[in-house]
Amino acid sequence: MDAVPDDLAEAVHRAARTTPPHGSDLAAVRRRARAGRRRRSAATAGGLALFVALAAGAVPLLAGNAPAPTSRPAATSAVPAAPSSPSPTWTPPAQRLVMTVDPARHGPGEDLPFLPVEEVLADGSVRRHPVPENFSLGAALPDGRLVGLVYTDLLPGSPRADGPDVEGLSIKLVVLGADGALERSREVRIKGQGVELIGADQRVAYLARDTGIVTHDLATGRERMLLRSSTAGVDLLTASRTDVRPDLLVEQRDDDGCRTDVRRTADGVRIARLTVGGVCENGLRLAPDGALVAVPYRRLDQSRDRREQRLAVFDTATGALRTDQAIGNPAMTPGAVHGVAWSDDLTVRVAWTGLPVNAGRDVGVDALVREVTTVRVQ
Amino acid sequence: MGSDVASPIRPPDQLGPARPDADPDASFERFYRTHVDRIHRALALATGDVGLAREAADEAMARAYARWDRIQKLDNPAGWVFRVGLNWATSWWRKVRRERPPAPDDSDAPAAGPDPVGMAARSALDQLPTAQRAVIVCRVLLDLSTAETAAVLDLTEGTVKSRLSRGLAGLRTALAEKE
Repeated sequence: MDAVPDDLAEAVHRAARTTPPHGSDLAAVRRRARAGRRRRSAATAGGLALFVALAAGAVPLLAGNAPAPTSRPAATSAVPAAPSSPSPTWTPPAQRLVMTVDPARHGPGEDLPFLPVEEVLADGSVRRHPVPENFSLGAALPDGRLVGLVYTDLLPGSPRADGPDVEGLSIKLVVLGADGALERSREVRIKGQGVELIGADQRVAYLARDTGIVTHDLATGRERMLLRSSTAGVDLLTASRTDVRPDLLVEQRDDDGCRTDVRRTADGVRIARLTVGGVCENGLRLAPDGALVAVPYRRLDQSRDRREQRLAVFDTATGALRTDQAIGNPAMTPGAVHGVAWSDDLTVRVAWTGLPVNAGRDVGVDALVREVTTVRVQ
Repeated sequence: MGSDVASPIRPPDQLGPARPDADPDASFERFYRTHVDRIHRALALATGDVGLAREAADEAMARAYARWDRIQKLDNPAGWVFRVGLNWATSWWRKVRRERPPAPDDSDAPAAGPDPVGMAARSALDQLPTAQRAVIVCRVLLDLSTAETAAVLDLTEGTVKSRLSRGLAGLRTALAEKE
């Protein structure tokens, strides 16, 4: 059907008219735009530099309201354009592959409670980690710990407007041990400011705040500015996706296509801008040595009228594209990418979901097939 | 048959690109005043949350204002604003950013007069999956073609047609149940 019957169109228009008018507060919109601009100051972006470093990054996470599928082994699928065999360095992988289900794609999505953390192990099996209620994972550390934020409504049932001074909201940074035991729990909310957990390593968590990216010492809670938004010349808190290491930051903005900027944390200078012809997927992730970055994205194959999941890998120092290949399965209707992790400096695993092409139209999340594709960068 | 039902919320002009203007502020203001209410209502139907829709509309308009020199040249600036607003509203990260200052809320006047039919239609729409609602909203409220809807929502045209068909069937069923 491509036309809308008049009676239904009229019903939709009448439904729309039940919404109170917006009010047309143009001044508020301009204030909002200026507030964003203030965070970008005169810093110069651009230039080129070379750059190598250590330590693992962390994958930004999604959470969702759909019930998690029961654990089932994730398969390793062949990748035609590159060798796909797991390397001998898979145990243990440099980065842990955790996955969630994006409710915006597969569920009603009106509310977004949190999912358990599920990890795809090196042998393809899936392990579900026990986590506290309302835990939102920020990083799975190589030593088995999980770092995340726990959001708590301290005034449940009390309706109140969102805003900088909203009462009764707690945001705690939580570290769980490899056995699931609570190791740390610390309030990180600053009233009136936004906060996001964008990654962690063995020593610190990386938080995006209004002023920029700060390191938060896991042991002491002490915070230090890593990169000011004003230095970078861009509001780092408003990036769509971010991954960070002590010396390197990658951030995506996808209002206008899929664009990834690579910046030095030392001075905020953008050393590369990476673009792909599609829409960014979640899972932007730096390789353990920082030399490469994996950019999952999807694009429309108009000739076949279907969506395609792909992974591009770029050299962070030069911006050169190292590989760009499909990661889905032609027998599947692509769902979404749910996790990306580097097994070593050249091997990246991508956890994704799809639906059998012949699946019914109104299938639940349990029907999703989850697979892992391994891409080896030459 | 068609979707060209006259409606008070449809602006007098269409959703095509605004003419680049020597005065970008004036150009944006015209665009804003013409489209913001319709986009707000479209977002409200698509998300099912009026407060969230208002903030999403403001956020998307602010982003458009910040780069108006480029946005005004797009084929469909209003579609761009709707998409940005919808993405923002459904983004996981919104949950975290909700502490950012909201726009002053000084216009919560209720919609003119209770309309039982409209309320029933809204309730019926709320029963549909978000993805189907978004397609219906684009096609009906924003008056986008199938191809434009596909571009705005990053879907194939086939998926747009499929969601529209299923959404309309669901809407008709839900409306019938309310009668």
